[in-house]
Amino acid sequence: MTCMIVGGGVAGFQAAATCRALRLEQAVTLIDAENEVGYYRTLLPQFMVGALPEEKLFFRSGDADPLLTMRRGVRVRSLDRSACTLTLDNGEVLTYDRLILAHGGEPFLPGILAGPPCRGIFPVRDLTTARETKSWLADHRKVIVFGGSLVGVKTAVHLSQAGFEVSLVVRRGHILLRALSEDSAAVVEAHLRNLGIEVCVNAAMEDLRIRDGQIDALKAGGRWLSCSTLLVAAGISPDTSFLEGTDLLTDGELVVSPALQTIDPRIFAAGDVAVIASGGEKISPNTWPQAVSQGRLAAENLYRSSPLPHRDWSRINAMELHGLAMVVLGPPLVGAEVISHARPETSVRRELFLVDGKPVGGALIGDISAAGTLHALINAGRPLTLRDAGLLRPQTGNVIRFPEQTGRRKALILSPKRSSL
Amino acid sequence: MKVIGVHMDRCTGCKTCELYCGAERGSEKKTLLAAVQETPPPQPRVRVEGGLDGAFPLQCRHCLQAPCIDACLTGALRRDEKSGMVIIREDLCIGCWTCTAFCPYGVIYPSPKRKIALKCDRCLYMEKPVCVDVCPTKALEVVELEGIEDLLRERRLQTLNVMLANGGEGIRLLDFERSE
Amino acid sequence: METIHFKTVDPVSQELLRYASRKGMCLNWERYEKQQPQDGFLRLGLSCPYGCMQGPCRIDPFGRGAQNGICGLDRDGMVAALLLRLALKGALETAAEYPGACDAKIVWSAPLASRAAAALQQAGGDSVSHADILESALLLSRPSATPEALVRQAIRLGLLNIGLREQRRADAAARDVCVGYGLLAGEAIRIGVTGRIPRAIIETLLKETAGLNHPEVRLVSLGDWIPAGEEFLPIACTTGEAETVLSSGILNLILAGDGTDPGILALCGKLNLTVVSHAKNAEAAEIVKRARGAYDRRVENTFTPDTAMIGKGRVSLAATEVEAFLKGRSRIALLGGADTLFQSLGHLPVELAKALRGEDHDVASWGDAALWMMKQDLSVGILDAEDGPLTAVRVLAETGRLPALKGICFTGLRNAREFTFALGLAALGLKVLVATPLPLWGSEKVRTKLRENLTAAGGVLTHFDHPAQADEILDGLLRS
Repeated sequence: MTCMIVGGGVAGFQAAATCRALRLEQAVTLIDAENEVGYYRTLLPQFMVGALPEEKLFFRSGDADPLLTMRRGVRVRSLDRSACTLTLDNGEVLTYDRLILAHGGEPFLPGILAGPPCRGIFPVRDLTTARETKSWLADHRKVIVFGGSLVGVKTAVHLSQAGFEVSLVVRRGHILLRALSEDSAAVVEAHLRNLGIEVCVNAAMEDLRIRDGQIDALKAGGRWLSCSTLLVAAGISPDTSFLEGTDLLTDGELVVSPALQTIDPRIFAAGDVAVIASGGEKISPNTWPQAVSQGRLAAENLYRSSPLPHRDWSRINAMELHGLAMVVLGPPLVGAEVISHARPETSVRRELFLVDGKPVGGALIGDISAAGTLHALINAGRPLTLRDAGLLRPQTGNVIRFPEQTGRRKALILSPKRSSL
Repeated sequence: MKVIGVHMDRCTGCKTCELYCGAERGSEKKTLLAAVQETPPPQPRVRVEGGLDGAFPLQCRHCLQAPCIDACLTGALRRDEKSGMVIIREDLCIGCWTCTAFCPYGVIYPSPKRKIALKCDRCLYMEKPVCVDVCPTKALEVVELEGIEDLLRERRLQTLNVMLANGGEGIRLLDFERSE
Repeated sequence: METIHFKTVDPVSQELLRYASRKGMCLNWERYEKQQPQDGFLRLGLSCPYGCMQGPCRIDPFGRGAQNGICGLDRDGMVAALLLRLALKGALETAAEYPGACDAKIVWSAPLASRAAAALQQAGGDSVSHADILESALLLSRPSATPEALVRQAIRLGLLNIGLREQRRADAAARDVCVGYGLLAGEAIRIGVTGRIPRAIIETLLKETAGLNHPEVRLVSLGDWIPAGEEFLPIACTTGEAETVLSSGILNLILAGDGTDPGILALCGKLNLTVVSHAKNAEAAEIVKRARGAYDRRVENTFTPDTAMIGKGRVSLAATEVEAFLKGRSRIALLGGADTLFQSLGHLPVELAKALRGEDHDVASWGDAALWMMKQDLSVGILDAEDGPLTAVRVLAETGRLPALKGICFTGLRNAREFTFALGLAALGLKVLVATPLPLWGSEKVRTKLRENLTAAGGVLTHFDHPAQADEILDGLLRS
């Protein structure tokens, strides 16, 4: 009667903690390929440049739990759904009663890097690599960050603040392609350039120059950029290798219901590995808060006869890029109406994307006031009123009137304002 | 759990709570006149919200399922076991502002100068929250959440009695039967 | 209850406060406590003083909320306008106090003329007149002038305030005064006098009661300095303690003049104490008759003060008297002013006077502060409550000994007039310290501009957050 969790990232870790809290007698086993589990992946850029000591990376470890088994440094080789077993790469076979797949993804590496091994090239993803990166960076000051994702941008900023010479190379037309509109990205790019980061857009990786077994230069967008380190943050691809042949995959993706259940009712998925089919769309938010809430929901749903759907699919993310605060409320959509407030002279741009009059996403750059309220507004799914639109003004107040919902209390009103009769 | 409630009929939107919260909880010297001269300027953890149809002070609601705690990247936000308050450990906060984007009330405030997020901890280690203490119209009150229904009930009864005494004039409360 | 020793330094008053608290009487202290904290925006000066009826506009001092009023006025404009408004009110009060002085051209007495001229040059224009009052009113009609201009105008009004006093300089002989709870001891019909009472009424009352015995009839002032014949009416307590004394029930009748606090009248109502308002033109005989009636109906009173508790002093009114006192002294500090509940009553005057004498300074005082020093038997010079400090300054200037004046400290301000007086003294190039916070904290610019303007004339105006610390003020006085 063991609950098995594959993956010790934040989704898996959260799932394990929730399982243990909900069902006190049930044992939980957590399997992870890394030697450490329970660290903040989002802090790796700070750690790599030496701005954060390693001990601050780890979650607070609670008291040792006898019913929670951690299997570190082992990989799952195969899954047998009919026997309810997992086979590990050391040949061990484990039986599960319920299974949560939260093993995340592998960093996406452009094909060109698949060549002969070369020192100085690191993906930004896990702690082991981050440690190697950190020691490598100690005497290699010229860095190219490849990939305009949030991780890439954050890494570039932390490197530049730590005094590295940094170029940010992006395959597509602007940075943060999946998160920001072109206008918003322009504000961030301008800020990065002010920080002294060279930003190269429309620059696919074309060639590498290797000298003495270590990287020397990168050809991207038709020109050679010299470097002594190449950090790759070009996104991740979900790791589905051991799921081949289990019928869990649709077109190579692990598709789950909004309740995070796979087609096998005993198996759930959470975090980066899961692709959620909701209302004819496929969503994979890939953010930290989503990983936390999905991990928890998967654990809660394990034994429910009708699992509850996740309510909030937003791709909220927030960052502080050394003086420029930004909050991503949702990705830009083709054909959506855009309302915005821009003050370019102070690096402020606030925008909302509307579909059928309802806000579906947006971004706040430079001034993040009312971020939480706008997020709540998107979740409320109601048409934007004139008053709500006022929230988009910079330095705004925060309050919106929620539609009454049971179970959610407004500010506690002891006595209402008397309306004039 | 104890929560701060607001009597909206008493709040005049004077922002006294903001001033003294900023001075008492945000400043070094703890007096208003010294606080306004500090750099970076202290930040209050309460904010008077609302418009013409009623102002009211809003501070952290200490949600039972707090989205900010889930959103926190570093575990700086956590629930205080004893009091049930959502509190922030400033030494762990890295100022990524993720929590501010998840608070539906917008009551977690970024402090870019100090690179940490600020929020109300309901003056956990003080006798009474500053905002409640200083409110000139006593619009803020600390109430026990378990007792809130009783309190609301009592207030409705009071209103009903006033209405009856005035020959039934005033606001009609549909959810309150005359027999009660 | 437990905070009573913070309220006043006088142990007898503390006992009376305890008594009142047991009886459930609401005195000024309760009202003070209920007012705390007082409007912070106003304390900072960040409440717009222009009455444009769109407001109230307020500026968030922490930079998180509004930074401009609806009209666009910023924090500096608001603070500067508040300063000017206080100065205008002070100038108007002084003008009302000295009717006729306004019409004449302001002529400065010789020792101050050069200082006034220098100060006026700094503040724009070479003379000051009642036209400045109208000018200020115009400046305060709509926010259009710069904060600098408003600050300069406020300084001009401060100078006008002094100039008006200069026009009505009256020389009178020195008078004796005594103060303390001892004045209430023994068997007597006691008539408490408060507020501004026309001199004639006091004179006839004194005549009426003279020689009355078994019991005798005594007139005591509740903090006001009321001239009576060759001396002042005996003063039972300072203004801050008037209600405390009333609550003891030892008085038989109150004669209330203009400017009596509403709280005193309300307390009399509660105590069933007869109040005679001077405005009603009551005959002296009638007043005495009613007091005697009240005395006959009295119940046994537990408050029996010691006859020894009487402090005596001699108030120097005329320039010659002041001169005689100040003669040959090398370090002088003027320390006076009204009671304020923001700090323990009597604390600052007594502590500061002792400390200053310890530092080899001679102290001259006026107002409630002087009463506290007399109550504590500190031998200090007593100046007239209204014009005393100015007389002292003039005398010192005349004899060329102004450098001996180390500073003028107001331990409390009762009204805008005293504030404007303090501002005017600073504008004349003197070091002035005010133990209460002025509403200037919201704008560093206004504070800087005010300081710059005053410094150019050699003056300083320092104000302290309450509760003001005696050692901070002492430090400010001793540091040159």
